[in-house]
Order: sequence, then C-alpha cells, then structure tokens
Amino acid sequence: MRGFCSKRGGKRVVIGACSPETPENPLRKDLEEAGINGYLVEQVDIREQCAWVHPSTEPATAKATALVRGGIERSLRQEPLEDLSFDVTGAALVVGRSEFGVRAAEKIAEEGFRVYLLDEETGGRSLAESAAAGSDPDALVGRDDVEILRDCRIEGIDGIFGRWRVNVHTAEGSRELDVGTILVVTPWEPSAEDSIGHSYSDNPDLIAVAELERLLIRLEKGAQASRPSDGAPLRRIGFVQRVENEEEAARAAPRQSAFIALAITQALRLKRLHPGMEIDFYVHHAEGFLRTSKALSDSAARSGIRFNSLAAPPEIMTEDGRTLVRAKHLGHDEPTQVERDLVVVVGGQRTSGIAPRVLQLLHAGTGEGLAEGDFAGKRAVDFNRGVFVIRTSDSDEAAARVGSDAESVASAMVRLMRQKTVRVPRHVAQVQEYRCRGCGKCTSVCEHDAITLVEKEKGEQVAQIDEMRCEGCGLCRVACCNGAMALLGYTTTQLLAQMLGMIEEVGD
Amino acid sequence: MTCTGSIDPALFIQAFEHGVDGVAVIGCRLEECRYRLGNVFAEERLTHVRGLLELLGLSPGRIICERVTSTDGAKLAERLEAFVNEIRELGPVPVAPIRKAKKADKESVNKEVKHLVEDTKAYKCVECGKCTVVCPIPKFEPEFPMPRIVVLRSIEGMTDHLADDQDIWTCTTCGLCNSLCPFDVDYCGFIQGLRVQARSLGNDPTCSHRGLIHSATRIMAKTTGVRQNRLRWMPPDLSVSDRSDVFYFVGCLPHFDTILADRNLRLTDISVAAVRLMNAAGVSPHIDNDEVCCGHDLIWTGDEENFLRLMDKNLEIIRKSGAEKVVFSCPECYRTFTKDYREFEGDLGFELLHISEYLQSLMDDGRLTFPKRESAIPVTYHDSCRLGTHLEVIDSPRHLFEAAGLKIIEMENTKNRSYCCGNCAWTNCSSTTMKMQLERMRQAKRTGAEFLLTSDPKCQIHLSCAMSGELPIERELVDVPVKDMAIALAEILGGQPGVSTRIGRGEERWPTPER
Repeated sequence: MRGFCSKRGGKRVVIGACSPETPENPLRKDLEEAGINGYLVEQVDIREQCAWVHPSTEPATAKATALVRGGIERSLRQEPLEDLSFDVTGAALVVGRSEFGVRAAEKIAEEGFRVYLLDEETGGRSLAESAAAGSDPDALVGRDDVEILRDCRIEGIDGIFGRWRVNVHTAEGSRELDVGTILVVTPWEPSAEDSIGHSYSDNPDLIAVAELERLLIRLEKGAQASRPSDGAPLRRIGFVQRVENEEEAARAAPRQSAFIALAITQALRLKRLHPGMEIDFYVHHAEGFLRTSKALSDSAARSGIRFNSLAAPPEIMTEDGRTLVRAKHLGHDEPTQVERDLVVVVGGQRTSGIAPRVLQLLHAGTGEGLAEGDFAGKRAVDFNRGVFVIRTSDSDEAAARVGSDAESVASAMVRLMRQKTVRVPRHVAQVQEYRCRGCGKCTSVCEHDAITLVEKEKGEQVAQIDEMRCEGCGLCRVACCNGAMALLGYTTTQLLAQMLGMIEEVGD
Repeated sequence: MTCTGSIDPALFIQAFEHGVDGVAVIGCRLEECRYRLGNVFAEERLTHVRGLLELLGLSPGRIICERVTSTDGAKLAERLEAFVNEIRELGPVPVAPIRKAKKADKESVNKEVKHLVEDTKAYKCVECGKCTVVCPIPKFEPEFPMPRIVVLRSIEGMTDHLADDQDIWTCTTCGLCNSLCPFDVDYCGFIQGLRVQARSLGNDPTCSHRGLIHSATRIMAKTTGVRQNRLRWMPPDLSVSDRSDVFYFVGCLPHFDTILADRNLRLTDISVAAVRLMNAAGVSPHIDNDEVCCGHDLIWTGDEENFLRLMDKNLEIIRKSGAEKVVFSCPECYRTFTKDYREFEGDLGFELLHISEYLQSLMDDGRLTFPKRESAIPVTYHDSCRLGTHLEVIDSPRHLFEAAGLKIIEMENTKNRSYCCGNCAWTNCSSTTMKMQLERMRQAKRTGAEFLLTSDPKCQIHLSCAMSGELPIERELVDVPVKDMAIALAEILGGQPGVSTRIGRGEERWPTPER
C-alpha cells in the first residue's frame, strides 16, 4: 500500500479487512506515516459482517463486494482532516466514599498523580466502613499526593475533555479543583418507592430485591429467618419476575438480566445460610438469560435453586394472608398455583445514588441501564472523555473483586494522564454558514453545550460549534432541516453515496 | 454512524426510492445511550418514517429497529432472519429500477437552452433592469445574479456554469420579474427549463430535509400497484361522493403532517375545512385515494421524467372519475395543473378552480352564505406567488373574506405584487430565506391585523418555520398567528346551525361569530 501511494500517487485507501473501524487502526497509522491523511483511509469490516455470519461463500462474497463498493464511494467523498488534540491535566478526581474509590485513589497516587478523593454523601459504605473492610482512607492522608475532602458537595463541573474544573463546596468554603480525569463511584441501591407495584404493598410477605438485601444483611449477622407477616419460619421462597404492564416491560427489559443476576446471588447467599430452604425462580422466557449468564445459573442449579422458565408472565396473589404464585410452565396448558412463605419481586426497580446528578453536570449519559448493567462493579464505563463511572454493590462477589477492578479503572485513568496530549478524531459537527438560518434547533438538541448562536451581523444569527465540546453524536445534523450542519466524516452526502454504492445499479 | 439518533429520515426514504426492500436499524439499547437522548430521538423519527411509508402504501414493517448489546448476537441473528423472511413475504418494493443517469453532453444542453430562449421569449430582454428592482433576493444577497443576468449568460451560449451553478436553485420563482417585464419574458419558465438541463448535467439543488420530500414524491411516481393510505385525515361525517362532478384535489397535506410531525401544523385541517365549506353549500366532492402528488416540487427541481409519471397518474384517475370540475385548496397543485399539465397535455378536458373561486361561485349562486357580523375582524392576506402572481387569482379570496365579516388590511406588497415566503420546492433554503420570511412577517405585523391569512399550505409551513425557532430580532415585531384561509372561513361558518364546527384544531381558535 505504501508503494501504491508513493509510486503511483495514491491518495485514498479502502481496506476490506477484519476489524471494524477504530481510531487506533494500525494500518491507518502506518499509512499516515507514508503521507496519507488518515481520514482518507476507509476500513470496511468484512470479517464480522460476512465471514463470521454467512456460512456459504457466495452470498458472503457478494455482500463483501457490496460493502467494499460502499466504502469506496464514501472514501471518495471524504475530506482530509486533522485530529483534535486535548491536553490532559495530571490530576484525578475520585467521587464516592466507597472502598472502591479508596483503592483506585491509592493506585493513581502510586503512579505519581495528584488525587482528590471526595467523600460525598452517596449512600453505600462510608469511608469508615470501608476502613473496616480493609482499606484505610486515613492511611492515604499521610500521602502528600492524595487529598481527602469530607462533608462536601460538587456544585458544578465545567471544562472539556482533559481539563475539568470542579467546583466543590466544603465546610471551609468553595474550592476549585483542576483535574484531567474523573472517576465516579456509585453504589447499587434500588430506591424504595419504586420497588414493588403499589397493588401489593399491603402484603408484608411480598418484598422487592432491595428489601431482601436489607433482610440478608440482618440474616448474615445471625438473625432468625422468619416470615415478615407472622414470624413463622421461612421455608419456601419464590423469586418472581414481575412487570405491571407492557410499557413497563419494555422499559425494564434492558435491566431484567441484571436484576435476575442480582437476585440469584441473593438466593445463593440464602442457600449458604439455610441449605434446606426451598428456592424457586419464576421467570417468563428465561432461556436468553440462562444462555448468557451460564456460570451464574449453573451455580444456582448446583445449590438446588430451581429455575422455572414460563410461557407467560407469572401472577402473584394474596388470599387469606397466604401468598400464592400462579405460573404457566412451558409445555403445560394449565397454570399451576403454589404457596410461598416469602415472595421476592424481581424487576421494575430503579436505582438511586449520586451518579445521575454528577453525570448530568458532566453532560454524560445517565441512562439507568448504563449503570445498572454493571451492578456488581463489573465494568467501568469510559465516556471517552476521561470520565469513568463504576457501580458497586455490597455483595460479597463485588467486594472480592474490588482490588482488581479498582486497579484496571485506575490504570485507564493513569494512561490518559501520562499521555499529556490525547489525539481525538475530528468527527465533530461543522456549520455551513450560508445554509444556517440561525433558528437554534441544533442548540436545543445538543447535550454538550457545544453549539451557540452568535450574531453574524445585525438581525442575523448563526450557529457556532465548539469542536472541543462536540462529541460527534450527529443529533444536530438531523435536527437541522436545512442541511446546514454536517458531521465531519459522516456527512449525509457521504452516507448516501455509501448506501447507494452498496445497492447494485441497473445499467442501461 | 455514531448514533442511531444521527440517522436522517431521508436516508430511509431514499433507500426505498432506490429499490431497497427493507431497512434494519441496529443500535444500542434504548436506555444505554452514550449521548443521553440519541436513541429516544431515533425512535421518534422512526415512528414518523413508518407513518410516511404507510401513507405511500409501503408496509411500515419494512423497517425494523433492533437495540442490542455485544452479548445479544444470537438474538440479533434470530431477529434479522425473521425480518428477512417477513420482507420476502412482503415481496420487493414495486418501484421502477433506477437507471444510471447518463450525463447529458454539452452540445445537446446548448441546443435545449436555445429552444428555451425561444420558448420563453428570453431573446426579447433589453436589460432594462425592472426585474432587478423587484427581485427580493439581491436585497439580502447582493452577489445574487438578477434574472436578466442569468438569461443573458444563456443567450450568449455560456452554459458551462450550468453544471455547478447554485444560483438557479436559489431563485424562488416568485414571478415578480415576469409580471413587471415590459417585454413579456417568462423568466420563471426559463428557470424551470434551465433546471431540467442543470440536472441533466448532474447539478442538483440542496434540498430541505435532505431531499426527503422529493424522494417520497418520486416513490409515488415510480411505484406501481401499491395501495396508498391517503385518506386517514377524513372525519367520518364529511360528505363525499364517488359520482360527484366535482373532484377535490387534496395534494400532499397528509404527507407534510407526517414529515413535519414535530411541528404539529395539522395541515390536513385545511382539507377538512375545504370539504366542510363545500358540504355547507350542498356539494359532496369526489376525493380519491389513488391521487398522487401533482409534481410541483419535481418539475421545479428539474426532474421532468418523474413529473410526467405523476401527471399521467393524476390525469388518469381524474378522467376515470368523470368529474367536470377539479377544485384545489393548494395553489401549487392548481398552478401545476393550469400551467404545466396544460403545457404538456393541452386541454385537460375538465375545468380547474381554486377553492376560493369555487366558493365564490357557490356564494354568487346563493348556495353559500356566511353569518352576519357587526364588527369586522381585522386580518391581512398573504397572496402566495402561485395564486396571486402566477395565476392572478386575487379578488375571490377577498370577496369571501368580506362576506364572512373580515376586514382586510393590505400589506405593503400585496396582490400580484406580493412578497414571497422565501422558498419554493424546498431548494436552497438559507439565511436569506430566513430574512425574507421575517420581512414578510414584519409587513404583516405592521398592519395591526389579528391574523395573517394565507391560501398556501407551503407558505404557512415556511413562515411558521421562521417563527418556530430563535429569532434574531424582538418577537413582538413579527408575531402574528398564521392561519389558512379555508380553515378561517369554515370556522366562521361553523357557528351556524346545522354546520359542523369540528375542524380539529384545538388551539388558536377563530373568534366565534356574534349572533
């Protein structure tokens, strides 16, 4: 390819290859060294799109040809661009008074960067409790490079990727912190008001996952397992997936597996305490979940937890103080009805915590699913802007992993700060001033305050993009009915040409 | 793409226009949007696109949206397989295949332009400059070439610029130049013809909504044997008849309501009002589900081929209906039939009338009367270029307003010297367009009228578009509610016993008539 470019004056390269587009594409880096602008290199992914999904060669090849044709058309309309570069301040902010945050702060400081650890009221374990669990925040105070701020509240966050200015209100007054990366640690905590549909609230033997969590903490400290309504011994527990209606089902769908997974870990803890306890799960169409979370469901099965996959959503009824579950098993015509001492409702919950407020200040996604997907602290969500969010829970499983997870998040933050200057592809919005009517439809959809209307001349406004704030989502492009907003690298002309390139044209 | 929220609705419609049979959107789960609301915007837009497909007679099931994470591979494969099977069952979209357009050669274009100079009497231009004075664009865009310059260039055989000249798309074809030319040069016709040639050289305009509207129109032109769903706007109590000698040509109102759903304009209220007014005079018009777009926006963007397809379809269904009169509430449809259809087809074999002309004739026959009103409501009236300047239908709307107890206060530019709403055929909308719209609204506000009445749904779309966003000037200078003429008249009539008042518009109601 280098030869093609240097000897034959090639300017654009389309690669039909294995991986999807990534900014770190090594081939692109190589071609850039050979003098080709990286934006004129188009990578067409024919491995995932063709080889991996089509068993027979012919259709796979036809599709690959079409995709490459589309890539060529798009590449022909690409413009050479320069990357944006961001300076990253060598200091980190860790928000959330959990053990997780303490560990991460420790790691970052060890790598030579200043850390502010904010002990903001977030629920979950406090620093003192974390200390009891093995991490000692006060030991960190001894380090010059870690500053712990207690009893404080974040008032505002301003700035751009790599250069955040955080305004913190403390007992001693306001403080401005300049940091390059931010970690938000937030506990998993279902909020009480949304835990169960209101129609069941008068039955004390019917509880939500959140209430079971509290009950479990008492049981693990040695309390008796007794039925909430009358104190009788707890023998049979049913975990019932419950959604009130279709609309709610749709809303809850992305979070169902997370909730079921959490419920299984609770069931396992119950079994550990009381091996003789009879535990059943009643879940509508559980196959998908069982497939994707095999390890967890296998260990449930080994402990004697029964998993009933149902043909319809289960119903819960209360009759003469008894709690009944009505379930239609797969392959059975009639539903069966069983009595349980305690019914735990799984699903439909929301979470609370600090994340939404702080994330809003950062203009980052606060979708419940985003954070709930990793209820046990499995995954750090990097917003590509040096902002990391991690959800932890108090479960043993999560606690066991705190060390390794904290280290991986910390090292991702350190990596960014060590680079000092980070290059980001210039896939940002661009205004074509002549087309711009200055109506402000674009500013109203921009989540990142990247667009402002400025006066061009008297009686005429025009949109202006702050490229450093723009995240390249392209919402403004669609909001503008006039084509005045282009998303560099993904302009409508380029996409249309790519699409039409893929469709075979009928010749004369 | 970076987000499903950045997918332009136009891309879907253009895919179908080019013979794609189904589109699958694959994106992140609804609540896991990296950009917070991108997925929500995408879902809203998909609803509108599906609505448009339904109107066009294509199954909305041709678009699916799957929201998945990286672990949902098996589920996605299953869904896509089911989708492909569904599409197979639906069969291919019955659109005529796209032929790779052959670029016209310079010589044939030159020849065509020469003909055009003859046909439009452009050779008569003496450069007196009257057109320059009235053209509304140079006031805001001083470098815009005046009509006479465009003509001059062409007369001198300078057609090279045609391949990339954007100015011919900026002209709003308002027709003021035509009406003032002492030598009867048809500049509008000249521009219309020039655009066909420009297109043949690969020079396309920049269209609003990325060409979605034109694309939908082309689907209407190119599909065969599909059953459209155009009549959903009709309330059940409207009186219509398949054997009527009056054919009411509705136009694209239902499509605009779907495409511009977020603007909530309720333009089909205009067609409801038009039929209510006819019903009040004892007329039950014929309304046809097989009607297609008149082709106005295609002929004015140089797509003659698909324009002719639409014309043939419309003429066939009107002739089949046996109607003697065709009534239009949309001035663009009216002009297209009156001028363009006749140019290609000669005598159409039926009479053409604007709703205001038809209502006036019903009033003259004593079949339509408006309730008496003691004090007149002050209104002003925006003559659309098509109706006022091109066709000179000026008096009948004013007679109707007077009869309905409205007092017209004329704007500075009025009647056949009206001022354009800023855009025609959705081409090259720009900051200049915005300035023209604000200028027109300012003129309306200065009259002190309570309402700005218009007869053209497109003018209403464009003027209210300017008002729907941020303004560079104080809103008080321009805020006059824009209202369609037919809706206003139907609402005034609605106060009478025996006449239904249901137009459908909840807010901004016309003051109820005094008893």
